[in-house]
Amino acid sequence: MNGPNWWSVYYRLRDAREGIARNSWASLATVVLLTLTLLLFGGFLWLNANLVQVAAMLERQVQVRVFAAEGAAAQSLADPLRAVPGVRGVQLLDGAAVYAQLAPVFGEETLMNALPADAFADSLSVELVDPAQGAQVVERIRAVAGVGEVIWGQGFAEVLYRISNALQRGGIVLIIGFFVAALLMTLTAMQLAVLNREVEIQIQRWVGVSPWGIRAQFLIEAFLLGLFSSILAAAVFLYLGEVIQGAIAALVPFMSAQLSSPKLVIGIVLVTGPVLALIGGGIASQRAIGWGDK
Amino acid sequence: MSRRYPLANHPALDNLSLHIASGEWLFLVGTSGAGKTTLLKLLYREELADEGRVIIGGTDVAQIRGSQLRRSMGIIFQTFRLMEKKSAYENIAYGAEVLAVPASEVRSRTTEILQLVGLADKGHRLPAELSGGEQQRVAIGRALVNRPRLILADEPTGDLDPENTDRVLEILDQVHREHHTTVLFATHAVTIVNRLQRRVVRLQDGRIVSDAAAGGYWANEEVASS
Repeated sequence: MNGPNWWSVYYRLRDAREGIARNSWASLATVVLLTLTLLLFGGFLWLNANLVQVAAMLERQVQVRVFAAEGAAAQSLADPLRAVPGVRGVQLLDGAAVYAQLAPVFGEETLMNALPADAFADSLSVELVDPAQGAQVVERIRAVAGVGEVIWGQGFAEVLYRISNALQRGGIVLIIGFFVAALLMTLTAMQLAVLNREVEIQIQRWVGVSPWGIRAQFLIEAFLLGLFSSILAAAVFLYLGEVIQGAIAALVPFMSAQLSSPKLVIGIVLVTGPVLALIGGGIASQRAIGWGDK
Repeated sequence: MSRRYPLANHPALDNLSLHIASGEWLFLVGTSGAGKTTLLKLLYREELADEGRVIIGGTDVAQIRGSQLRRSMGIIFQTFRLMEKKSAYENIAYGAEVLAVPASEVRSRTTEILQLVGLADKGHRLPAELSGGEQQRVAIGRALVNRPRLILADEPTGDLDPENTDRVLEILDQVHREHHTTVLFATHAVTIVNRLQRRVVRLQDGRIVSDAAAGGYWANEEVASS
């Protein structure tokens, strides 16, 4: 090099800024589309994160509640139930404790107006090894002496469990789809930028700039577009996230505590934009410049 | 050295051997397809020889990176390849900036080059606002801004009128004399070759058919027969 590296950085940044300004409409279109994709990507990540929470809730729902028959004590059923094949664990639920747990969810006053304090009998919560096999295990539980009523989500719980799994799998597929779409879009935009600077590329080759030196301008330009898009997407996501959380909290108060914070997703979006743009810029410039230093 | 392109009837360069002294001016002449451009491409490592070696300053060009090699060269073509939205000054300065030359040095070099190529008062103009000859002088300025030790000129006056051709020759001759720069000048133009009276190598079908030492000229009869 004929000079210190920061001169190179200075010139590359200047050229990248000029390149973005020169192709202002293409740059704007890239930022808008990349921002939208990042928003969709972030939104889906957030939805997926919440689905994981919901799935955990659903799994908890697949627990079986067992009440003792008249004349039998719930506590005495714990050991026989633990011995039933397919049962992972058994927990005694004190009726008063269950009532106390519900108070913060629905509000103490609302609960007191709806139910008396002794509304819940003692019961046993039975956790299953495999919720999908719930029906068979419940039949075995019903056959245990002293067991009265058995409550569980029946087929509904199993269906919800399967749906939550399918949604999570589908979410991963969709996220990969968004990634590919964003990458292709950035690639196209950077391809245009490279084509627009065919003369500059040729001149740089003639005066002896290395392929990485030539590529640097496009990588910096792509990085700036990606960074700007991700900041924009993160800002919109932050705003919308608060609005959605506020709306859910107002409509379904007990669900708001279950929602995951969008902060992690915002962090991922901030990193994803520049990374996607760098990959797109790298591939586009590689096509024009190549890797070898001929 | 030899160079053959796929599907071609004959080699672009056929067992060609040529020595050019440092600081020498050499005209490379011949008809289209004679091998002039191929020879220049091998020199600036755009292509590699199929057989033989190209040695520049004691270094085999196949053994070093192309970018490293070209930093000591100034390459000029018939087409000017200027950046349309940059001024003449910016076009010349760009050649140094992309090699990370400090801004003050770029300014000093570019100003000096603009004077050398006779465009000191037109540095702010865009290429579209310059004549063809002036545009070629900008392209030459860009090739000279990094003070090359070797100038490779491939038909640089092919699109120029006699007056601008003379101007281009004067510039290159001045650089050649003042800085002892080696010049390889590929051309069809008999007037140029005869006027400067320098070494002339004539190519035909990839072979050297004549090599007239310094003071030699490319006679009209040779033009007619080539």
